[in-house]
Amino acid sequence: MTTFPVFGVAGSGVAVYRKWLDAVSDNISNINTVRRSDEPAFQARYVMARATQLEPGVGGVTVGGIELGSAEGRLVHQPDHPFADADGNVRLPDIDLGSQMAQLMMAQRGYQANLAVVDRARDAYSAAIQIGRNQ
Amino acid sequence: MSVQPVGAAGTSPVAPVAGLSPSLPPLAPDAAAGAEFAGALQQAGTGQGGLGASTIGRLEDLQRLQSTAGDLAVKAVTGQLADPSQYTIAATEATLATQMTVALRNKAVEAYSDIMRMQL
Repeated sequence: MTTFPVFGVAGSGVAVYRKWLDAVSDNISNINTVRRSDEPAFQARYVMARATQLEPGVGGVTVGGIELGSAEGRLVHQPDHPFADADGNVRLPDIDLGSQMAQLMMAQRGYQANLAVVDRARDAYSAAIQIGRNQ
Repeated sequence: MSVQPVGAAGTSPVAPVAGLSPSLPPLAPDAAAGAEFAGALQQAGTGQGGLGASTIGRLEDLQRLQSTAGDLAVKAVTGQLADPSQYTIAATEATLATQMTVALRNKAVEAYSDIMRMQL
C-alpha cells in the first residue's frame, strides 16, 4: 500500500501520453517516406490505452498495445522518383497530417493535465501535512 | 522510540483543602478514561501494532521511496530515462513522505514531552 497513490496513477497517465506523443512524432516524421509500389507502405502507429490497476483498488492506465495503420498506403504518380515502377508510381503512407496534428494536441494536453494532477496533489498533501504544525 | 506506560494506579485523588471550596465535592478521577489511556500508552510502548510499529513501517516506506527516487535521479543524469517526469514525480512523492514522517515524529516527540512535563 502506498501513502500517496495519486502519484502512481498520474505517473502512469503521463507515461501513456508520452508514448502517444512518440507515436505521433514517428507518424509525422515518416509522412513522406516513399517506398516502391511492390513494398508495403510505412504503417502509422496508434497507441491503444488500457485501464489497469497499479495495485488492488488503485487505478491507472497502461499501453495495451500498438495498432498499425494501412500497409497499402496510397499510390502516387511520380515518374521521376528513383523508386518509381514501370507505370511511374510510388507508395506513400496513408497518414493525414491534419489528423496527426489533432492527435498531437490531444496528447500534449493530456500529458499536461496529468502533470497538473501531480501538482495539485502535492499542494493538497502539503496542506494536510501542515495541519497543527507549530508556528 | 518507546513511550513508557503510565500506570493509572500511581495517581491518587487530591484531597480537598478544607475551607477553600466547601460547596464543591472533591474531584473524582475518571477511572474508566484513565484505564483506557493507560492501555493505549502500553500498546504504544510495547510496539504491538502501536505507534512504534507504525513508525518503523513509515520509515521503511520512506526509505523505499527515497531509494526509488535516487535510482531514477542516476538514470536521469546518465540519459537512461525515457521520461524526466518519472524522476520528478518520484522525487515529489519522496519529499512529501519525508515531510509527513517528520511531522509525525515531531508530534510524537511533542506528545512525549507533554507527558514528561505533566504535574503529578
